[in-house]
Amino acid sequence: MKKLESKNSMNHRIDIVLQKFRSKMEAYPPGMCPLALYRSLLQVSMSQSCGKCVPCRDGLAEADRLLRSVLRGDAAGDTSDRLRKLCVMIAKTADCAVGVSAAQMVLDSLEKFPDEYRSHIEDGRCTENVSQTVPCSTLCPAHVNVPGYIALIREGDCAGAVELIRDRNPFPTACAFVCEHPCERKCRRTIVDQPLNIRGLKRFAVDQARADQVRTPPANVKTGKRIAVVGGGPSGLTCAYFLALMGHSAVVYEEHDQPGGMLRYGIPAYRLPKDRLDEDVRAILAAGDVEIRCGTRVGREVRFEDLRRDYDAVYLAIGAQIGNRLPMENADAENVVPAADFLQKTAAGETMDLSGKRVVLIGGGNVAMDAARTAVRLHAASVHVFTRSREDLTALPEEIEGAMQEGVRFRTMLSFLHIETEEGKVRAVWLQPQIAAEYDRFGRLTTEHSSRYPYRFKCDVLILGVGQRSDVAELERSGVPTERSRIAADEACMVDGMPGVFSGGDCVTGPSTAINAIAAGQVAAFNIDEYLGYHHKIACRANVPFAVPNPCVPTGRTEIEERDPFERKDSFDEVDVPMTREEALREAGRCLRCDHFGCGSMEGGTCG
Amino acid sequence: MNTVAVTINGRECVVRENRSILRAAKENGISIPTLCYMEDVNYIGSCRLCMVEIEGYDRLFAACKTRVKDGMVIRTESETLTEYRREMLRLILADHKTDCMSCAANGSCRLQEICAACGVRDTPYRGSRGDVDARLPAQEDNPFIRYDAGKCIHCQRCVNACQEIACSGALKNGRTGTMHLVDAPFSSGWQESGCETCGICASVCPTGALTLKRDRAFRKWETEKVLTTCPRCSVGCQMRLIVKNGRVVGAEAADGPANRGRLCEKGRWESITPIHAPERLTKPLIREESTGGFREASWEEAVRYAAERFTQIRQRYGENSLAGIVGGGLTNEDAYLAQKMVRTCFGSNNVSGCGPQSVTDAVTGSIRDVTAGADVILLLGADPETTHPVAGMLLRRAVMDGAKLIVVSSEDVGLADRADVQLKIRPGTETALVRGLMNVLVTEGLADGTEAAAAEFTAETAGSVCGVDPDRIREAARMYAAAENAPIICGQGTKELARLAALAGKTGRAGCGVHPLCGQPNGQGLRDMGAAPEVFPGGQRVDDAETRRRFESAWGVRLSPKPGLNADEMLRAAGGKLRGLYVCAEDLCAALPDGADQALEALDFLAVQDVFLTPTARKAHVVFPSVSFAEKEGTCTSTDRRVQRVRKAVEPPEGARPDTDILTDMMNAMGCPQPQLSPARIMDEIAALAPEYAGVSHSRLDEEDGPRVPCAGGMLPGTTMRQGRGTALQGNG
Ligand code: SF4
Ligand code: SF4
Ligand code: SF4
Ligand code: SF4
Ligand code: SF4
Ligand code: FES
Repeated sequence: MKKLESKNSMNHRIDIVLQKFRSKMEAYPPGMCPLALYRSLLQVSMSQSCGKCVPCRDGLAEADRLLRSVLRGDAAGDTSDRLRKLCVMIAKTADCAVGVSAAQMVLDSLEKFPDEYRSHIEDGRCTENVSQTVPCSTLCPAHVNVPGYIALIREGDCAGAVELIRDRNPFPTACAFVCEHPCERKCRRTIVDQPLNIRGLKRFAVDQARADQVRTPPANVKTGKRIAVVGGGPSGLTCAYFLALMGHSAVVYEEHDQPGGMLRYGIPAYRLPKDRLDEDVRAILAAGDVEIRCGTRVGREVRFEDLRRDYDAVYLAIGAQIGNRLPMENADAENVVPAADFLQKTAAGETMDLSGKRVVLIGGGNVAMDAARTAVRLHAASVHVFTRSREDLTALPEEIEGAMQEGVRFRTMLSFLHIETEEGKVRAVWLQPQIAAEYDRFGRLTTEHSSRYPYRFKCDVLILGVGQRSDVAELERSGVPTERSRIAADEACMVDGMPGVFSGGDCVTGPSTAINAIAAGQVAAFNIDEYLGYHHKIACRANVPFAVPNPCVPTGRTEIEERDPFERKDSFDEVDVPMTREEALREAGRCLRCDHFGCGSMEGGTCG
Repeated sequence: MNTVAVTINGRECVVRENRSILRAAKENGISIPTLCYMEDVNYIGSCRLCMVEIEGYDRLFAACKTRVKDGMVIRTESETLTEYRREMLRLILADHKTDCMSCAANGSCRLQEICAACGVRDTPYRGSRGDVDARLPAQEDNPFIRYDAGKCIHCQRCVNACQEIACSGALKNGRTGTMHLVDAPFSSGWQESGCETCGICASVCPTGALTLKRDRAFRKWETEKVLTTCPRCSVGCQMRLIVKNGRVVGAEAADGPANRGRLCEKGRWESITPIHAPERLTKPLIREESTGGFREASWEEAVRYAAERFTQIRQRYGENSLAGIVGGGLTNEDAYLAQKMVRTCFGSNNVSGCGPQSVTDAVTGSIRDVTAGADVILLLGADPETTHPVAGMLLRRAVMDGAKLIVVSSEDVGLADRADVQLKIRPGTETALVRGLMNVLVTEGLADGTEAAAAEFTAETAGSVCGVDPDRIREAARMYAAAENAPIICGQGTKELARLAALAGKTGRAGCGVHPLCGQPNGQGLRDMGAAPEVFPGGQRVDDAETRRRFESAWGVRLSPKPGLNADEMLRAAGGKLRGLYVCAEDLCAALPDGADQALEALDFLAVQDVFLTPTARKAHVVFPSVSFAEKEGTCTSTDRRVQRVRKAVEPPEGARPDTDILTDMMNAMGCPQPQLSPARIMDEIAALAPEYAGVSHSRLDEEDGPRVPCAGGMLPGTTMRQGRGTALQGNG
C-alpha cells in the first residue's frame, strides 16, 4: 500500500532538530579551535553515511581517528600526510557526494589551517590566538563592550550606555542608524531564539541621551604633540577623538565643506539624518584639542611633505570616494553617473530632477541600494537594478527589502554589455542573459553568457554602483606606497616604510563599512601614541551593572520597523521607526550577558 | 549603603545590594562549599560546588557569581544540591591524578578536604583528559615552582591570581581543541616568561597541581606558623614562617596592611634560606695578633676584649675616634641599642646606617593609599619591580585600575612599559629634571607660589640637560598638577621633590606626598631609632640642648652636642681621626664597595656582629655571632612608616646570641650599666623617649595592624591617613 508521509515521521522530527542545529552553527562562537570544528563536521558527515561503500563507511572513521589523535596531541609527525592521502583516496572513490564532500572537507582543513595542525602535532595545543571570547564584542570591529551597554540601557542609564560605546567608538549615533551590526552575527542568543537587536538598542540609547549631551572623558593634559589627520570621515574623526583625549593636538584636513565623510556625503539622509550625525561630530570636536580645517585638500591647499615635516605623525584616512566608471564606450556619456557621485551631489543639495526619468542601476551593493532609493525619492518614473547573479546583491537584506517596498525593481542573471547613446546622452543599456555556472575557488557563483539574444533596455539615467576607489594620485607622487590605488598599510595601520605615517579605513581596505573605518581610526590613534613613545590611557566612567540570571525563555527579537513605503518614498525623512521604551527594555532583557556567563568571565575571555 | 531583603534557607536576611549570594550567606552564618572561588580574584564559576536553588528558576545558580536581588528566595542545601555537589566532585576526580600519599599538597589540599567533607571517595567516571594530561610533562624547570597538569582541576585560580594579585599576567589560559590548558611559565625558558617567581599562583592552587617544590619537605599538620615581617625590603610585607621541628621550612603571605596576601620572590624564598645555612657563625672569634687568623673564644673573653680595646682607643684618641655602623636589616630594638651604645659608651654621635638619607617629612600616605588611591603616580628614580617587588605589584594594580603613570628614570624600568609618559633621563640629572617640572608649574600658573631654584630651568633647558623631549617634561608637570591625588614614589627623597609636591599642592592628603622607597629593609626604622649622626631616637636633633638634656637624664651620661659622621665620612676618616669601629650586621664591603676594604684595614680595631662571616667580618678583630630575623623578637618600620612585629619562630643555633644581648654585654663591659632588657621592654623605652613612637608597644602590635608613625597623641593607632580611597582588589562584592 502506498502512503503519504505521516505528520510525525522521523524525517519531520529530524527537520526540527536540524533547525536547532543550524542556529547552533550560526552562533558558533568566535575563537574556537578550527580542528575541533572540523572534527565535529566530519562526525556529522559520518552520521550521514548510508554505510554502503567502503571508503565512506570505513575510511571516514579512520580519518576521524587521525583527527582525534591530532586534537589529543598524540599524533605522529606524519599524520597530516596520512590524513591527506586517505582523504584524497576517499574523495576519489566514494560512491556518492556524502563521502566525497566529507573527504574534501578534511582536505580543505589541511589547506586552510596548516598552522593549527602544526601547533597541535608539534606542541600539543592550539595556536596562541585560539581562545573563546564574547561573541558580540569580538565581532564588533571596534570591540565595543556590547553586553555592558545593553545592561546600562536595561537599567535606564542611556547616558552611561553612550559613554561606554564611546570608549571604543565615538560615533554612537551614526552607528545606531547605519551600522551593519556584525556584532549580531554570532550573538549567543541565537542558540535560544534569535540574535539581539544590538543596533536597535543603540538607537534607543542615542535617542534618549543625545551624544552631544553626554560627557566625554576628561582629556589628558596637553602633550605638545601635533598629529595631522587627513580626511574628516569616520576614521579620521575617530582617530582625532582618541588622540585628543590622550592630550595630543589633532588637526583634521577635510576636503569637503563639512566633516563626516561618507556618513555625510554617502549615506542618504533618510537613513541618517544629518542633524543626528552632527551630534556625534559636535561631541568629537569638543572632546579635546581637535581642530578641523574644512575645504582643505592635501595636495591642493597643503602638501603632504609639509604635513610630515610640521606634525609629529600623520594619519591618512581619505576614504574611497571616487565612484568607478566602467571601462567601456560611452561610459562618460551625459546622464551616466557613478552612484557615489550621485549620492554626494544629492547630499550636498545639488539634486538631479529625475521626474519622469527611467533610471537604471548597475550593481547590488549597499551603495547601489542607497542610490536606487535616493532615485525613487527624486521622483524617477522607474528604477531598475540589474545584477549578474542573485549573489551580486550583496547589500544588507533589509536594504534590499526596503528598496523593493519602495518600488525599486530587481532583475538578475543579466550581465551588462554596453551603453547606447544618442546625442551624447544615454538612451538604453544592453544586457546579456546569463546562465549559472561553477563556483569559483572563493565559493562564489560564476555565470556564463546564455545563448539567448542580448536585451535592450531603454533608460534616461544610468547609475553605476560598481565600486569606489581612493584618490591617491597626489599621495603616490609624494611617495606613499599604494597597491591598486589603495594605500599600503598593515593591520597596525602603519604605512609600509614610512615611519610616523599611518593609514586606515576605506583608503586601505577599499570601500567598506563605517564601523571598520572607525575601528581603524581607533587602532591608529593608539598606535600613533605608542609610536610617539607613550602609553596613554583613556578613562571610561561608565560602570557596567552586575549581571543577573537570565531565565532564557525563548522570546522574539524586536525588529526596527520602517515607515509606510508609500509615504516614506516621497521625502528624505528618516524611514526607521525606533523601538519604544517598552520594546527596548524587553529586548535588552534578552541579552545573556556573555561577559559574565561563560567564557567572558575568564581571564582573556573579553576581547580587544 | 543600600540593602535588599532576601530569604536564605527560610531565614529573612538583610544584605548589601549587589552582594554575591555566597557572601550574603556567609555574612549570615551560612556556609556554602566552594572550590574555585577566591574573593575579589576568581569568581568565574567553574567548579559549580557553590550552586544554590533560587525560587522561580528551574536551574541552579553558582552562588559565587550570582548577585542577590531584592526578594530572592534562596536555598543552599537540599538533597539535589548535595547529590549534585558530589557529582561535580566525582567528575573532577575522573580527570584528577589522585595519589594523595605522595602528593606535595597532602594535608593542605582543598580538593582532598572538600571530597572528605562531602563524602566522595572515588569516581565511577572515566574522565576525558587523561590522554592529554598524561602527555603533558610536568613543568619543573623553575627552581621553586612546579606544575603538574595531571592534578589540575582547571579552576583558574592561579591564572586570576597571577593577573589580579601579582598583576603580572605571566600565567595564562591556553587551549587545545576544546580543552582548557593552564599556560604555566615554569618549563624551560621560564626566565623570559615575565614570571617574577613570586609563588602567588602556587599559594592559591587548591590542589597539588601547582606547588612550591619545597612543600614536599613537610605536611601541613607537622608544622606551626609564626607571623612576622619580611626582612628583605622596606615594604614590610606580613608573612608567616612555617616551622617544622624547630626549623623554618617555608614562608607564606599573610594579610598584612601593605601586602594583603602578596609576597615576592625575595620574601617567599630568599628570606628564609639563610636561617639554617651551614655557614652560620656559632662562636665568637678573636683575631690572633701572632698568626693574623681567627681563633674561637668564649663570649666573656670576646666581649671583655672588645670592650677593653674600644675603651683604650677612646682614652687615647678621644671620643670622636670611635663609631658604630647599624645594619639596615636589624630591628628597631637592635638599632636603638646600637646607637645608645655608641652615644653612651663611645661618647660620640658617630652612628649611622649605610643607606641613603632621605628627606621624609612629606610622607603622608601608606603604600596602599599612594597606589590604590592615586590618580597619577610619579615614579622617579626607582624600580620597585626589582627592589620592592610587592610595591611593584601594587603599582601595576593601580595602573590596571586606571591610575596614570609617569616614569622618570635613567635606567630601563619595567614599569615604563605601562607608563603614560616616560622620561628617560641621563644619569645624574634627576635634580635638573625636577627643577624643570617646577619651572613648568610656575610658568604655567599651576603652582602654589614660586620656586627660585627652578627659575632658570625651563623645560627646554632641563630637557637638554637631561636628554629628554621638553614636551614630556611639560606634560608630566601638567599631568601631576592636574591630578587630584598624585604621589611621588622615588628612590630617594630630596628637598627638591618635597618642594615639587608642595608647589603642586600635593601634600597633606592621603594619596599625595613624597614616598621614598627605603633602600634598606628597616632603613626608616634606623633613622627613627637615631641610628643617624645628627638625630636621637624620634628624629630629635642632637644639637638641641633641651633634647639632649632629656636624653642625658634618661641615659644617665653626658652626650655629645656635635653631629657625628655618617658611614661615608667614617670610611674616609678611618685610620685618621677614626680608630675603632663597631659594625652591627652590615657588610660594608658590599654596601659601600668604594674604599671600604682599605678603610677597614686602616682601623686600629674593628668589631663585627653578624650571622655570617661576611667579607667585612673577615677584617674584624672580634666577631660576635648574632641571630637571624627568625630567631628574635622585635619590630621594624616599613618605608611607609608602619611599625610591625618581627617574631621569633625558631631557636638560634647554639652559641649565637640576639643582637640586643650582645650590645647590652658590650655596654656593661664598657662601664655604662645597661640592664638586660627584652626587646619588648626596649620598645617601651623607645616609646618613652621618641614622641613619634609614643604608644607603640609589642603587646599592642600583637593585637592589631601596626600603626603608622608618628603616632598621634601617644595612644592612637596612627590611622589618620589610613583610610585611602579604594581597596586593592575590586570587582567582587
Ligand atoms: S547575548 Fe548579549 S552578550 Fe551574548 S552575544 Fe548576544 S548581545 Fe552579546
Ligand atoms: S561556561 Fe560552562 S556551559 Fe558555558 S561554554 Fe563554558 S563550559 Fe560550557
Ligand atoms: S610565580 Fe607569580 S608571576 Fe609567576 S606565574 Fe606565578 S603568580 Fe605569576
Ligand atoms: S594549577 Fe591549580 S589553581 Fe591553577 S587551574 Fe590548576 S588546579 Fe586550579
Ligand atoms: S616586597 Fe619586600 S617586604 Fe614584601 S615580600 Fe618582597 S622583599 Fe619582602
Ligand atoms: S565556587 Fe562558585 S563555581 Fe566554584
